[in-house]
Amino acid sequence: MSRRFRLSVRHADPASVDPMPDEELSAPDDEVATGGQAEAPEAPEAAEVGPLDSLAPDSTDFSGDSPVSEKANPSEKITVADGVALMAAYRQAVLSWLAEDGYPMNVEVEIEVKTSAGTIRFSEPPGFRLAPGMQVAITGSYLRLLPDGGFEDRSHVTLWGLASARPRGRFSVSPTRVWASGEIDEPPAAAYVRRVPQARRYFDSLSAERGIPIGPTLSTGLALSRLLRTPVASAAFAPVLLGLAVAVRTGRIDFVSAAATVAALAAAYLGVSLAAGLLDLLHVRGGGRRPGDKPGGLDVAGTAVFRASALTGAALGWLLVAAALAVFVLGTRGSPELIVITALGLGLGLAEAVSPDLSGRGLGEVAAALSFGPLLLLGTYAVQSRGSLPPEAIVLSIPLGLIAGLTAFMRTAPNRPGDARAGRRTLATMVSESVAVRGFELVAALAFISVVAGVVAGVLPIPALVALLAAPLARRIRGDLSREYDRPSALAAVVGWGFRLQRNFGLLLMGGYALTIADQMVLARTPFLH
Amino acid sequence: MPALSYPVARLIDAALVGDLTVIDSTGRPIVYEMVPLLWGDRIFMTSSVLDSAKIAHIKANPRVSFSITNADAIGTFIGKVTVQCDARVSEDDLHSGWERLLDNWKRKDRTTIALRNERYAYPLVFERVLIELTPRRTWFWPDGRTDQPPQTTIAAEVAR
Repeated sequence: MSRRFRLSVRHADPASVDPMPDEELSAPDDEVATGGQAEAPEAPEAAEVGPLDSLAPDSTDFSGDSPVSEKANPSEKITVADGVALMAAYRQAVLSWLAEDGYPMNVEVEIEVKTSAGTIRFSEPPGFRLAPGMQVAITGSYLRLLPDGGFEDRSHVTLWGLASARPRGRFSVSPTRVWASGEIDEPPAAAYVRRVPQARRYFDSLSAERGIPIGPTLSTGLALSRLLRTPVASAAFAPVLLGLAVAVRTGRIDFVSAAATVAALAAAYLGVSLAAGLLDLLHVRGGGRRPGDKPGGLDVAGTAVFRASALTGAALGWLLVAAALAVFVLGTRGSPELIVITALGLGLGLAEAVSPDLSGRGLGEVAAALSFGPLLLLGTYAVQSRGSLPPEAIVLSIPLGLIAGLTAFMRTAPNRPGDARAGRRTLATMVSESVAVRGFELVAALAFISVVAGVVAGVLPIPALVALLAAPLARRIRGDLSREYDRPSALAAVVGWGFRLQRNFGLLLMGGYALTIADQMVLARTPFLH
Repeated sequence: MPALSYPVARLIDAALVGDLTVIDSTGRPIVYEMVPLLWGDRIFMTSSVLDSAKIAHIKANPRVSFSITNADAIGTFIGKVTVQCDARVSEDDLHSGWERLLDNWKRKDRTTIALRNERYAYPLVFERVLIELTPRRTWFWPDGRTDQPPQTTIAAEVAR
């Protein structure tokens, strides 16, 4: 498999790279690009330039002379030859060595990279004395300046080796170790997850040093919010509330079962979120890393804010409450339709939240579309109607499901390099950029068109058209998706807009139904075209 | 003589990033890109606990050097500099101690504001250690030509 490493080079040799700032360098094989030390695969470093930046060797594990280093993803290795190839894009680099006074010294030098020989040559910097045979580090780095200030896309490669003297004050280094990192290949969420164990080790070490427990300061509210995946909450509750809204509008509302339905959903949501957090916690404690991490859970659990036993008890408790409420609702308002919908919904919801298997087979988007569209909305309505499902509820569930499917796709899109390496075949790993962008356009357009079509057909109330106010946001996301698709870290920010689209779309539809119900109740009108 | 001459201080103040070099337990130099935040004669930087390996290096050996070499990172300024420093880490208030540097940091990197808004999403990013560098010796290339000998400055307390 051939992989390409996007590298923009500041001191690039004009003969070897394109002068465009976003030059792409072909990596010699699939193991190139960026990486940390093989001996310290989870020793990312220094949030100095930005909170989620480079990898770096870990002091505790940094030893040995292996010519192979490891990337952020443990399955991806970078060899010294790869590092030399990356260094070849630089004309100047920082030469570092340990000076006689015990301090490190840095001087920028012009370098000459002999890729075929695997060596780097440079002249002794004027004013300094290098001892032949001394160990040196050579670092090439890049950052891309942003037009409105700041920077992004930092990357660097460091090669270590012994400096051999050559004639005329020249030195040659045949590197034996490499460390490279870059922001382009790894989205912030994945980088964050990968580094949580290092943070834990740091806190453990500091606690031992001070003799008191020291950990991260997280407000309970923030921690709970992370654990309970609040961005997903609106997606879960919008179809339920819309199902109830249709029931109210059609005069089929039963307030006791409606309250029980909402309570059951809330309990199930809490239970599933806590269970997912627990699984993430156990996963991290077991030393595993999940390249295609999911929002919520992992980082909070990883900070040991919550204990596994507490999470287990709470998850089980809420799931039992949800089960009891579900039994009550099914017992009092059950129907064959509701039983089928409930079984499908619970199965898909649990599989999507707890297991990566569905999304790993390219079915995550379909599962999300079904769960957060038809199943929740129709299930809620079926409780009220004791089984009958009118066209209004069915049509209303379609755009909700489509938008939920889009959001699910966007969640996995930034992680597609890691997912692909880990063998997870998410939909994003299966389609090209153009297909992804056009697919987004098509599905988003279908969502809005289905609302309009429903209104024109007289199935949906006219005020439902307020959902079209979310169209500009979808357009903006489409633009961002197209622009940032190859930059996972930037694309990760677009995911937040996806959640916003889902939330706003649901809220607008609810607003439309509130107007419709008010119109019916206050003015005794039925705001439908037919 | 001040630890940092005016042109050097101005260069560090302007630089978006620089190269912090620490020494590991085997004597190997390791270079990290850091945002330098100048405060008087001291250079400050911060490191997330997620990226704390360098902190262990510094605590084991506080002798470091810091360089400005990236011409892209200094805007219209010219010049390159390497500052030999004694480093100290402050871990007393990981949650908010670094916020004293926020205004200076924002000036260099507006995306910090956006990142800070992401505190919700990435809480450990903002548990940060402060690193304080006290300059002791400076090598300065005013025209940025490191193929020429540098100007060397030794801090008064070191020279004594």
